[in-house]
Amino acid sequence: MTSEDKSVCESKNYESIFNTHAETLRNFVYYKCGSEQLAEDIVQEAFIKLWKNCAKIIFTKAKSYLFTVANNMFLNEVAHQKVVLKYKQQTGSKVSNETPEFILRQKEFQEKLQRIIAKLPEGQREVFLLNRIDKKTYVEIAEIIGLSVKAVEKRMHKALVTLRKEIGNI
Amino acid sequence: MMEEKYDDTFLARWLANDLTEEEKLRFENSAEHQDYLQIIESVDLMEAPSFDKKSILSSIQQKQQIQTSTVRKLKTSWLYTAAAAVVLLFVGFSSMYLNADETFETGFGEKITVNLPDGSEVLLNAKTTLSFNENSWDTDRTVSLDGEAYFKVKKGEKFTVATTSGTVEVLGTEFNVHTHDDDIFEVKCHEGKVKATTKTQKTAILTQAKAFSSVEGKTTSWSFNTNDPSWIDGESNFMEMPIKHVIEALQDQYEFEFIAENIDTTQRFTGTFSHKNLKLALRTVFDPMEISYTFKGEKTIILRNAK
Repeated sequence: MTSEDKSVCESKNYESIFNTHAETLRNFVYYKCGSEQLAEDIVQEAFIKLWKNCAKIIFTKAKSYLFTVANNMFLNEVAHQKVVLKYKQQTGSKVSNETPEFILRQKEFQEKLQRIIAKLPEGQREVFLLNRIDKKTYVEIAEIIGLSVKAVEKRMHKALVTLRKEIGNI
Repeated sequence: MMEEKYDDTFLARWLANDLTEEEKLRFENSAEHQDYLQIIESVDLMEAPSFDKKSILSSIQQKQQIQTSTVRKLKTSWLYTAAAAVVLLFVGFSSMYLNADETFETGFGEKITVNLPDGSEVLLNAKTTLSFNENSWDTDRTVSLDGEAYFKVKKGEKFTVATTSGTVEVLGTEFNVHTHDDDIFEVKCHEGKVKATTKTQKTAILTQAKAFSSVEGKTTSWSFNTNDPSWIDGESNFMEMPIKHVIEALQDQYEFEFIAENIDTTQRFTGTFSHKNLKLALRTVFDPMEISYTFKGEKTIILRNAK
């Protein structure tokens, strides 16, 4: 059976789509809005919509369906509620054997970076974080967001330029 | 200004190791290089918030049944030179179910899996209709069935399968129900315990590997091997089934029109047929019954007495 014949309506196929894409989808929306709750709600609604339309969607197209649906839901949400975007602070997880002063400076540096990332234009932020945190290639990101690879690279570049520019200002 | 020295994708390509040797060297010797390195090293330590796959998947599965219903139009299709009376029955059935909240229907040769609001699963064989009311599911686990389905019921409140030929009640178990209108009622228990009641109130309590059927008034009980292939694996099996219903089952899988000339369609058949090979299926059903089958055109088979 080719993967095109797989029915999305079959629970094992539906679950495999979930296991493969749900986390990236959640991160994608989270990077846009900075709200874990909203991101999780949108992921659930997108998968429910996938289920409702399961008979009409080819297995190999399920990923792009999900991302398109989630993006539209996000746009509706933002337009509807004028969501205040708040990017959650994350702490670095690597252990280092540097001096406490160095570690503190590292931490402050990271916090500054996070504030600047939160202020980046949404389009740059989602590309940047999908690449650095989710380790997606520019080709993958282009497919998820629906842009050319070149456009993705330009956004990456601009994000970094802004980060360097702003980090000096704080 | 840095932006003028490099093109607008430079830093992206740097991160992806996609620079020419010359570009790379020039960048590594620049004042900005160290700044960018420091930024990237710090960002790469960041993590996305944790993601609890299991719990999110299960809340999706619970919600996906609480949706506005999609009712599919029932197709009417005429299988053999059947009487108008049978057409009326079919129409009667369809109007009864069009008002149910959630209805699923399979076509010829089609099998689907339906997830119920509590996580129970129902596998539908071809030409089968299943409906239930998702709003009252919490307090009343009842489904209506016409056709054939395999149920995997999660432990919980009583679970009822209502058909026009009988009712099945279980608590949590796996079983197979095969019905057709009000004259076929067959239940096979694969696991757990099942109570089957015919429309004439005859009851059978079935434990694992026990089966019961009431076909046109005649009841039969038997034991079967739960490891034997079933319609789920592509093989339909029958115990003492009037051949006219076996012919219908063949039609449900293969979508051929069978025309029965002068054969006694009430003769009973015990055996199996494959869903994957029409010629083999015809042989295994009709050869033992001494019935000949001839193809007429693309979609019709004529059955005659070979005796």
